[in-house]
Amino acid sequence: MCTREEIAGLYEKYYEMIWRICLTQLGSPHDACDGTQETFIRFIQCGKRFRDEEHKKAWLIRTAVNYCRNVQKSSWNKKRADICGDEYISSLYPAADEDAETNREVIRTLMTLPDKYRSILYLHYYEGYSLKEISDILKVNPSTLRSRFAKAKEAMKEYLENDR
Amino acid sequence: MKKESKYFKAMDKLHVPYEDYKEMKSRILENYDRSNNKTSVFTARKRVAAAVIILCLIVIPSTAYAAIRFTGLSKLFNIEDTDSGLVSQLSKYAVCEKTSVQNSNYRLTLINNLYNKEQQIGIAVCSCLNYNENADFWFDVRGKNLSGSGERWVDLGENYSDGGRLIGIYYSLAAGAEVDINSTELYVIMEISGKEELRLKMPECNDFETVKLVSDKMPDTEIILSPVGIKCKLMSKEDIDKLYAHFDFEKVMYIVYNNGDTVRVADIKWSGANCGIGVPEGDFYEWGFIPENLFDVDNIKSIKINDSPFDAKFTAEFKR
Repeated sequence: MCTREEIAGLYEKYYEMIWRICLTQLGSPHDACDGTQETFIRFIQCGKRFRDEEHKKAWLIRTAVNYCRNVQKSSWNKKRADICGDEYISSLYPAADEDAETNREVIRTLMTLPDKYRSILYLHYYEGYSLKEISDILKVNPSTLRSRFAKAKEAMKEYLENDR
Repeated sequence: MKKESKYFKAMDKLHVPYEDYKEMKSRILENYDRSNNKTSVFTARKRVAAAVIILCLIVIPSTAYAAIRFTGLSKLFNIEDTDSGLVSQLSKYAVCEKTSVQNSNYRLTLINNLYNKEQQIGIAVCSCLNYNENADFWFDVRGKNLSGSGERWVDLGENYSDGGRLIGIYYSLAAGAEVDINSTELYVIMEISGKEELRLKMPECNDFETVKLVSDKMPDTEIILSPVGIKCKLMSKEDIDKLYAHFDFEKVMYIVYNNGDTVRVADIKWSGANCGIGVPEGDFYEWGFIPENLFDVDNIKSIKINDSPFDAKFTAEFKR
């Protein structure tokens, strides 16, 4: 069982990563906060022993992605409107920022992708995980993951061009 | 990872608003404090509640069964005096026919389709001849919506594979907005490198409340999937010991099946609210995200399917 300080430390270290995953998966700031909170609460409740820090991080990512999928599959979710519209995307990047418009375009394009592609892009291009590591974390068949990655990359080609 | 990409820069500038950061942190720590302070009381209450529920579950059906039998009502309900029990006697049978489609290179076979009307989810179990895990195979369930003007295709599925040739496709009608099952034909689609190779129309199948899977090669195998859990009636103590030797995970259930001459052991591991399927070497593959309220993981003991994917013959028994 972790101490209160350890939980607080873990939160400080990973909250932004989990929130970004939830935000890109769910497209709603409120849902992203719920997802982040729920992920850490599950961590507190799971009482699992972790091999190392990397294992702990992978567990948090997997749990966050699972949470998002369950939310997306829920009948409540399918009946409501998406609130992550232009207004919210604009608020993410202050207009004064040099790349604000480009950043918004990236998020808009990302949100047009099926949600199953978005976390793969984030984990690969931002967190720096290899496809093999992502397939282990998300527990997705490697060949399935490669297909999804190729499709996602194609759709985001313009924004990932420097990575090729 | 190249930090000059537009994607990286856009992500890098995404920050949690400070108010949200503070609120989430305080709620998480509150939850931590609460769970630490109330553990003993909660556990005690939970134990009492569980004991009462178990008692009710045992007493009520037994009393009802005894009442029916000893008051002569058994003749009215046509209940035989057999070991198989009340539940199986009241079960009705429905079978999802195995269907196939093939071209010169591949054969796609739908072994079973389990669909739950209330949850609007299903699992299509398929096998594929010439499946090669190194190629970009993609299996999906899509719905052809026939209502309104013209046909409309919606993507409903999410596939997993066991890394061999047995494929399960979890699908959800909730995934395709405004899909009406009554006016939607369901298809299993197989794509290779983005090109559609085979399309197999799923036969109509009753929704399931309780499904019993029976293997013709393992007559003593009986797997029951129900809204409240999965039960298995087959394993000898030796089998279970052997399997448990491979794993030390919490909340694990097992599938054992023959793939040609090789017995492969796969496990379904509960992680968060989801299920993963994989082989014991640690390669976990996605099986589908089954809502927690559909399968109660605490009721899962073990599962054993002993069959070859190519001539697997499962029948589904539906309790009505």
